[in-house]
Amino acid sequence: MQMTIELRHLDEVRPAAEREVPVVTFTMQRPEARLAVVGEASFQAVLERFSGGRDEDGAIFRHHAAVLMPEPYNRYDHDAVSVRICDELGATDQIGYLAHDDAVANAPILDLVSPAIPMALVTLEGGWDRGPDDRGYFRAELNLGSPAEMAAEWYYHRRPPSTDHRWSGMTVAFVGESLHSIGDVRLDQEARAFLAGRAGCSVERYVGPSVQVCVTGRVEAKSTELRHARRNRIHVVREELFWHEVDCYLHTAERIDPSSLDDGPTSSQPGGLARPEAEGS
Amino acid sequence: MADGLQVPSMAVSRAPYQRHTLPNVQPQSMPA
Repeated sequence: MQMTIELRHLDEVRPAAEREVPVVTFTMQRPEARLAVVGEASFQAVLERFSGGRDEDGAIFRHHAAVLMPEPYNRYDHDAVSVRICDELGATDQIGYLAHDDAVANAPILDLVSPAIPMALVTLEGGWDRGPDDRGYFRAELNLGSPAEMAAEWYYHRRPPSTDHRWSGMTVAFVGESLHSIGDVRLDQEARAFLAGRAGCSVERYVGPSVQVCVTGRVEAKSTELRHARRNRIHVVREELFWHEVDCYLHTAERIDPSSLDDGPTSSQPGGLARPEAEGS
Repeated sequence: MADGLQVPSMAVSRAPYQRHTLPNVQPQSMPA
């Protein structure tokens, strides 16, 4: 009888923390993108175990999966986000936290993927063993870009942009702050480059000689780059039209007049795409 | 030993992080 009661209540008394939490995997972040983990000094034993041992350069096994877990009930910091390394069975161990500013900056992306949590590549740094007097502490870094880049990848997995559009294969540059968001995350240059790249465009950071299309967000008419684009007869297109044509349906910070979805007054061939002329011609 | 949170083991094995457990392999961007 006693056993029956215990079994019936087993699930009810099981701590919520032991239940499986779904994840969103981030696998397409820039290779050089880094999000620091802090407080690893308190979790050296865990890092030592996952390292698979040390050599003179550091951990034997440096690359693992890790998740970001918000801790809204953390007694010291309600914005705290812990970083937990994952073994192949899905069990996780804490290896540190995000720095406070990073945790606050990443809150919108954590909200966006909620109730899932983000999973990303974590790299173990340090941890070298060059003799009894020269052993390095383990540190950890996540391969994650800005919150906007994470949002862009999240969006891409749900709805890849079209590559069948008039700018496919062309080189574009984005000018001015973006008016577009994914959830509450405003696009930045890297996020725009991520989505435009998946839409089949090459992306340059500035309007240079190789740029064929200049995509404008919030930009002043006197902008140097915009003047350069006009002077060199580079096609100028508003950002809302660009995203519309590559099939990205993003939130906009300002209401867009549907009649504005044309090529804009700066197009040298209204209704069509003006190919840029060779530099200096 | 893990102190609580569990994630789907499939997520760990299907994402390309596993290949990085080889020694000294640099992280790289990979398709989904």
